[in-house]
Amino acid sequence: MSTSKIRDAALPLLLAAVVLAVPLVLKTPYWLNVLILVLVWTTLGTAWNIVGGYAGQLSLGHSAFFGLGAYTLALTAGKLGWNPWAGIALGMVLSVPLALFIGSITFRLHGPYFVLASLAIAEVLRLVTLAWRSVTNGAVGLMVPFLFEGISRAPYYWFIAVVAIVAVGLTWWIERHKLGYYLTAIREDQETAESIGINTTGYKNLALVLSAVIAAVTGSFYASYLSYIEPDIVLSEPVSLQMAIVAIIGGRGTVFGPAVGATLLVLASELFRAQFKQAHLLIYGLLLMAAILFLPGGVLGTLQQRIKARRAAKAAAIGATFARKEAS
Amino acid sequence: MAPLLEVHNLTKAFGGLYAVRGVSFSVNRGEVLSIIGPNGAGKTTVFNLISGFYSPTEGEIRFKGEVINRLKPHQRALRGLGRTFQIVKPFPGLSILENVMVGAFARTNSVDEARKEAMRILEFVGLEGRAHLLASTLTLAGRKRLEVARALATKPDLILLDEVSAGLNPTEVEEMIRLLRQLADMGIGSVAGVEHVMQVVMTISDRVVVLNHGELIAAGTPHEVVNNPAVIEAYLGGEVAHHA
Repeated sequence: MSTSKIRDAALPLLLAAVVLAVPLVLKTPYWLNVLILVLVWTTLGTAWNIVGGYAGQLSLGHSAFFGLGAYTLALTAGKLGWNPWAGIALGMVLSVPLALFIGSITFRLHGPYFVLASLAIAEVLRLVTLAWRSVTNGAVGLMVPFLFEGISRAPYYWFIAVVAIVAVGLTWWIERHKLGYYLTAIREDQETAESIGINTTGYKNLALVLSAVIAAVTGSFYASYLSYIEPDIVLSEPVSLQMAIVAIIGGRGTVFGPAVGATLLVLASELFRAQFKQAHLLIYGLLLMAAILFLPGGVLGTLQQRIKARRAAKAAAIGATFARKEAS
Repeated sequence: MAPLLEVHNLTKAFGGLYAVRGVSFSVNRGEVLSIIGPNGAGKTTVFNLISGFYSPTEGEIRFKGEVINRLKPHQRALRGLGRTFQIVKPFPGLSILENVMVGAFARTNSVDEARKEAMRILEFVGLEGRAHLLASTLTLAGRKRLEVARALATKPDLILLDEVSAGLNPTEVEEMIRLLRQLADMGIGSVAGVEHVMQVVMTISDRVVVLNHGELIAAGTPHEVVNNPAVIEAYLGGEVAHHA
C-alpha cells in the first residue's frame, strides 16, 4: 500500500476506532440505546445507498430484506432452537435469492419497475407473515432469543458497530474501485453504460445482493435487540421509507452520507419526542421538507458538490491564466 | 481478409413500419464508411441495430467473422464495437477524466491503469486541460469529443459515430474530421453517420452508403455517390434532379 492510500484510510480507521471505544466511556443505558439506533439506521441507510445511491435504483421495499433477516432468526433460533448465529447466517444467505428474484426480473426493464416490484415484494411478505399464523404467529408476533447474555447493552453495541463499520467500509472500498465507477455510470446513464461494455443488469444485481445481505443481518440484530418482532415492526413500509430517507438526507452516493443522515434523524426524533410529545412527527416532517428543499444532494452530498465545484473553478482559473500567458 | 463488419439484408420494422429495410454493406479495418441520408432516413436505427440496442427483424450482423445478432450491447462493446450517440450522453455528474475512465475499465480492473489510459486518450482528443471538470461543463463540440474519447477507451476495432457534425461550427467540424482520420490511421474502422455536411462526407470517407426511407439507394466512393441522380433526388427533391 502506498503512503497516499494509507493517508486516505487514516481518517475512516480513526473514526471506526472511536465508534468502537464509545461503550468503554459511555455507560448510560439510554444514550447507549440511542447510539445503537443510530448505528442500526446507519447500516440500513448504507445498505440502501449501495443500490439506491450509487447504482441509482430506488428501492421502497428494503424492509423485505430487513424483515427476512428478523423473521429467519426468530423462526430458527426461537421456534426451532437453533444457535442464533446460525439463524443470522441463514437470514443473510436467504436474502441473496430474494434479491436476485426481484433484480433479475426488474433490472432488465427500463422504467419504474424495480421501485414498484420492491414495494410489492415487501408488502407481499408483510401480508404473508400476517396471515400465516401457524408459522409466524401473525400479528401476535414472535419472541426472539437474546444474542448476548446479561443486561449490558455494550455487546449489542459492539456487534452492530462492527456491522456498520463493515458496511460503511464496503461502500468506501466500492467508491474507490471499478465497481463504484460502474455503479455510478449506470446511475448517470444506463444506455451509455451499456455501450462501453458494462453489464448493467449484472452490476445492478450485484449491488442489490450486497445491499440485501447487509439489510438482512441488521434485521436479525434488531429482532434480537428488541427481543420481540411482529410484521408491522419489521416488515412495514415506514421501515423501507426510513432507510431511503436516512440515505437521501445524508447524501445519496456518498460514503458517510447515511451515517450523517442516521445521526441527524435519530437524534432529532429523540429530542422532539421528549420536547414536543405528539407533535414530534409533525416537526420531523417539516425538517425533512426543509432538508429536501435546501439540501437537494443531502447534507454531505451538497457539501461535497460545493467543494468539487470550488476545486473545478480553481482549476479552470489556473487554466485561463495559462491561456492568457500563452496568448500574450 | 474478411471485412471487420458485415451487414447483410438488415431490416427493422416497428409494427408495420419499416425503419430500415434490406440494407447490406461492409467495413474493413482502418476504413471510414459514411452513412448519409436525410433526417429520418434510418441512420440512427442502423447504429442501434449494429450496437445491439435494437434487435433486427431480419438480416445478419457479422463482426470479426462472428454473427452478433443476439448479443447484448455490452457484449458487443467488449468484443470491440464502440459507439457514440447522436444526442450526446456524457455521464453529467462525473468529471471528464472519470467519464473516459469508465470506458477504460472495459479492459482493466485497476483504477490506476484506467486513469493512465484515460489521460492518454484525453491528450489524444485534446481535452486533457479539462480532465477534472464536470462533463456537463463542456460545449457540444467538447461533448462530441468526449463521446469519441470514452468509446476509444474501450479499445474498439470499430467505432460507430452517430452524427459526427450536426450542431458543430466549421472549425469544429474540421477538428472532428482530423480526429476521425487519426482513428483510421490507427487501424480502427469507423462508420460515421452524417446528415448533410458534404465537407465531412467528401474528406473523411473511403466509401459512402446512402439511405433514404430506410433503404439503401446508393453506395460507392464519395465522388460516385454525390453525382448519383437518385442521391440528388433524395436530398433536393425530384425536379432539381431532372434539371441537373
